[in-house]
Amino acid sequence: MLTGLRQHVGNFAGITVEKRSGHFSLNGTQHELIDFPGTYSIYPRTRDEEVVYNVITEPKHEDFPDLALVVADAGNLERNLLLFTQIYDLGLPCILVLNMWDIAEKRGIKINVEEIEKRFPNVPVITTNARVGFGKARLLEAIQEFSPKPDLFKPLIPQFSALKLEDVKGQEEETKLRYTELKALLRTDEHEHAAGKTDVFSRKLDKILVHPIFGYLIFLSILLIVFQFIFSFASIPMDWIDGQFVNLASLVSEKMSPGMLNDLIAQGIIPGIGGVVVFIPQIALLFFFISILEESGYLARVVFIMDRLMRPFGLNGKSVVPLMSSVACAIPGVMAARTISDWKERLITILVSPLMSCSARIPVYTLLIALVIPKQTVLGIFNLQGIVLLGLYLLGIVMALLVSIVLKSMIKNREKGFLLLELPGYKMPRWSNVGLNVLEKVKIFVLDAGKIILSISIILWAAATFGPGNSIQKAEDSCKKSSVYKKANAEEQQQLIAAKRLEASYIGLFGKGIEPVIRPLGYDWKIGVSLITSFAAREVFVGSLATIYAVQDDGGENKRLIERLKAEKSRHGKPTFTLASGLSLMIFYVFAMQCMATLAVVKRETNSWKWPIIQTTYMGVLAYLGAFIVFQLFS
Amino acid sequence: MWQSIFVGILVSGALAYIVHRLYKQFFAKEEACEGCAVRKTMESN
Repeated sequence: MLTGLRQHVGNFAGITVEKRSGHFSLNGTQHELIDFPGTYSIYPRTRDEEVVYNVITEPKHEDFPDLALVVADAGNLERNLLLFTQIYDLGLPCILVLNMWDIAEKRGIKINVEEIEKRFPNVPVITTNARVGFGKARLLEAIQEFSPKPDLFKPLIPQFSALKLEDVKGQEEETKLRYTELKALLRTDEHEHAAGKTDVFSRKLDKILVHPIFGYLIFLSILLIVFQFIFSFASIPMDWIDGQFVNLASLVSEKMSPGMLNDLIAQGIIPGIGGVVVFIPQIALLFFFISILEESGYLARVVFIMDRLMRPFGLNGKSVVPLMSSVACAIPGVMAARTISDWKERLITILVSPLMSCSARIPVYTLLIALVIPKQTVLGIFNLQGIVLLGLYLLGIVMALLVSIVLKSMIKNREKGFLLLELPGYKMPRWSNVGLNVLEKVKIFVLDAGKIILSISIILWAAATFGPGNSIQKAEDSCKKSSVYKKANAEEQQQLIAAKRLEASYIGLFGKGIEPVIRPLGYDWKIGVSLITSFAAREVFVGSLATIYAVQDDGGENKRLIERLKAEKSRHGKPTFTLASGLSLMIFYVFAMQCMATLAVVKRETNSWKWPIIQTTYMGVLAYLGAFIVFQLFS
Repeated sequence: MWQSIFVGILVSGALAYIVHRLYKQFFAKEEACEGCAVRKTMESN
């Protein structure tokens, strides 16, 4: 609210796991605002909470604040004021911000601000509603006019200084003492009574949404509807974008003078980038729905019901937040595992998080589904393609749970985890937040992945255009002498030459080298090359296929990638992309760890090379075996 | 001729970018230190 920081905040705990900072100016003076991970007490139980303890208890720390803004949820004040009293008792200059004031009022919770101010006379208390900017002016004014008044300092526990981390017993006693004092100050019993009367709607809704049977059925139905929408509605803008890229490639090859640069742009860069940009509508739609579910407070309920489901699999309830985050991207998912206090449970969560289908898999899944799964209606209303997409997501979840069981039995556990989750009240999604989240995700997808895809498309084009020595020329000459070439018409002759040149190029030689390894999975060498290049990032697969097939179709008219793939034949004249090879590729992408960025984050979070290597190996083995079995079953 | 030179620059640039990204992700020193406290605790575990 103060810095306009475009940072994602979620409607449940575990979203912010490290400090974030922004700047704002007040009457010409620049201030740095540091946002720390949320915590209920200065005594940390998890890795993310340690950041707060380390800063607050160490005045020499570079981030030690000049002024602490303690933001408390007005709807749950007793629990939130514990941290405030600890910070206050440490003698830090404070402003107490009672946020979500509107929700507290709606629930009928009456908070006597004057009484709090009287108890802590040197602390300004500001009521806010950060979602709409209510109270911002008063908060800025309070910061500007703030002056420490040490003579008015009235600690809750006199002579308090933060206890050592090992002194758990002392911490418990101190916490109990604080709650007793806070109960007396806030008269909590009255609040709870008032809240009970007005929050009937949320509670009634929760009875259905977190029901042991209906809860799961409703969640599954919502998922099914979301995936149906993604497939049905996204196809219109996707076809349009696809058409624009095909036109652009034709325009470039016509208008630019012929030559190497023309080829690079028309056959390398445009198909490579276009193959990925085309998936923006689907990614935007997925995050649109996820944001609505999160903003409304429903996602917190999903975390709650999934916790129940995960316990038999030996996972900590807190693993649900990282796993749910991994549906967007495994990187924030792996980082969100910091909220898990037990090291081994945290490690298992990190190891299985990339099995959840992330947004980078959407382009791969949807391309392959559109290629090999027929557009059929099942049970009168469901689109078969949407059901297969949902199936791939569910397969990732099931495999994450199964791998967790195996890892649990292999790694001994000392502690038993628990899930402590505040269920937020239901509210209408704030559309600007939804829009911002969608925009942010699309931006990351286009800019971050886009740079890698652009670079790989350029390198692939070069590797597909050049070969060692004069091998390409030799291949072309021998092609021209063949009987097949002589019998073909002009267009077919050009395509034959382009195919032979591709085979003799660096990429062709490399692809042929790895072909024996991937042949049992039903892939040819061109798919193999795309698989290898997508080790950088999964979505590169589509761009790589687009570039390779555009180079191969040299001389032919510019076509959509899907048409090129459908027309692709093996050397025996059979289609390369069959139901068996398509399903085998989908399974490969559900299981394979093909994301350098995630590997780097796992290395950073575990501070060792051992775990990312183990993770890549087990996921690679799963992917290979899974793809092999599926191909053999369906072919 | 100029097209070949331009293509050469683009291909080398793309290669350099990929190498840079790989180096930055796996070997470069951390810029921000917010995760330091977390990592230190992990090391001590």
